[in-house]
Amino acid sequence: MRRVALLIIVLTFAALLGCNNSGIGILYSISEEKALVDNDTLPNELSVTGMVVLSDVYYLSAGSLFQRGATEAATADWSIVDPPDATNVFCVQLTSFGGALYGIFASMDGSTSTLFTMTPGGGTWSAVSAFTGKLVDGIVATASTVIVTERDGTDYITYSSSDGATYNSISLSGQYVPVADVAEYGGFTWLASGKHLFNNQTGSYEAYTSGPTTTAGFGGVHASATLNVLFVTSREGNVYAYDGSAWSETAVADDDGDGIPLHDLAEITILGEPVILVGSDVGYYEIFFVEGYTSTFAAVGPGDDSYSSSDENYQKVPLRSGVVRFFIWDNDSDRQTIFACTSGEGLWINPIDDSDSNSVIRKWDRQ
Amino acid sequence: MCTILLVSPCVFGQDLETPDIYGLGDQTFSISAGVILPLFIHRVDGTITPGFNQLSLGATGSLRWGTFLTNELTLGIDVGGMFAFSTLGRTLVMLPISGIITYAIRFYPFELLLHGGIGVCITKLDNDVYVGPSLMPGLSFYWNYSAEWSFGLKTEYWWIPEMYFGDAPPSSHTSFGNFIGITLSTLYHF
Repeated sequence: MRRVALLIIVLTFAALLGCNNSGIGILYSISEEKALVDNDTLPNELSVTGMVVLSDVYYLSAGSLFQRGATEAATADWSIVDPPDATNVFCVQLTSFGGALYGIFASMDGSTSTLFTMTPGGGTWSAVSAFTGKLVDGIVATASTVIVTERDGTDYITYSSSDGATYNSISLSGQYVPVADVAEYGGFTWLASGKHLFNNQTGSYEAYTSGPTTTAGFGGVHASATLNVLFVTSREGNVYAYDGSAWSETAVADDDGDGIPLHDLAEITILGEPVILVGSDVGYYEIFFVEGYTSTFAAVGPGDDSYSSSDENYQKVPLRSGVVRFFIWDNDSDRQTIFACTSGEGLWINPIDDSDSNSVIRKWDRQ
Repeated sequence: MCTILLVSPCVFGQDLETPDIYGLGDQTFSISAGVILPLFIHRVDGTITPGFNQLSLGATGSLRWGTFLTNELTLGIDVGGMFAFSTLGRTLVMLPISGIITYAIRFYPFELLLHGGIGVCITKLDNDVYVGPSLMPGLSFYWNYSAEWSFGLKTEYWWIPEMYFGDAPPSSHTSFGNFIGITLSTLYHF
């Protein structure tokens, strides 16, 4: 009997121990769980390479080019847009500029990779003549600049355009991968390409050496007009912020202390306040700026049920462990919808609650 | 159960005098398997979430050893386990280890066991593990097939508190799980 009593005592002392990685109570988590809504309008294993909102239509590149009306319900099916020709059938990248759609379409064997453009509303695809016969490997754009990367053997040649028709070659010293992202900040254009951050502060594009450095590569750049801050992410798990005078940074890491590779950023508003979303190899992170920009910001995982781009269900859905490459924020006043574009986990939609235009607790569903 | 019902007319015809099959120093070992019903989750803020809204019908089983302190009272230990699936397909696993006290009421060839268990429960969901207390009252109804073997049905209430005092998880996540296990049980007496 003493042994049994002793065992009970020992076990009781062992009580209240445990290992909780999610920060959420287990039974609480179960009681809060909601069924995953899968609208089943796209394959769940899609790798999304590009998405734009143009003329009230969503366009999505993921091998095929998909489209759906932005005013349609989330349950509406996406349709496949016919490729420009019988050779270039795979849509590998997509962006918009000047009211037109720009897509890189590649052949099945990869021998051709051509930049096409189309004006929505009855337009047809036409090849961008500046890149006829060239292998186009990347396209990114801001409201005023299009950056196109051409692959020439093992080299890359980057072009800039302000009208989408005339392209000028720009020299990016040390470039070894296509330009991944672009942003306009401080009157200059900033480019993220591999381990280099470039800007045209001096009139021509040069590597920016007064700020963050990375050995694994930069993930994305984003200029916040609301905060007047430039954000940059790295594959080492760092988020850098530049307010025009000084750089600040924060980091995200896994349980072993290794930095989580970060991808592109986006900005949404919740209750009128800016929230920066940061895609990563393991879900995504949020940075809140409730009282304007502060250099002591932090990137946190969503799921906090008080003020977040996601409710607590985020902790359990596949989006939580998926590779979130970038976000699209449809800021139409009636929609205010976030899309999370993943590698291998499809497209996720986070619509605003119809009953509450100021909803501060959002929820991810699957497209 | 069918076996019990079929055999019952025969055994009722026998001498109903209770044989002295248990005594001080005797031991029992039982094995049980069956289902566990998620009744409800009671959160510290008073919210009660019906269990079947969030969890599937689960499976449960246990091994129990006991030693007789008197002809009616045993003290022992029980190692159990259960699993059930959540709405999103996550697997909830609970492994309670309890000290068990049992009181036997006999009316040969049947016996009713009233038991109560207190101990710890290891709860696991995804990568989260919680070790906390458990309280498991219950009752079992056995048919004494022989002096060594008994077969019957065991029901046990699982009260599993999950208490937090810090920030992650916050104390507001303190919850109390309520389940009921219904198992077929075989008891060996030696």
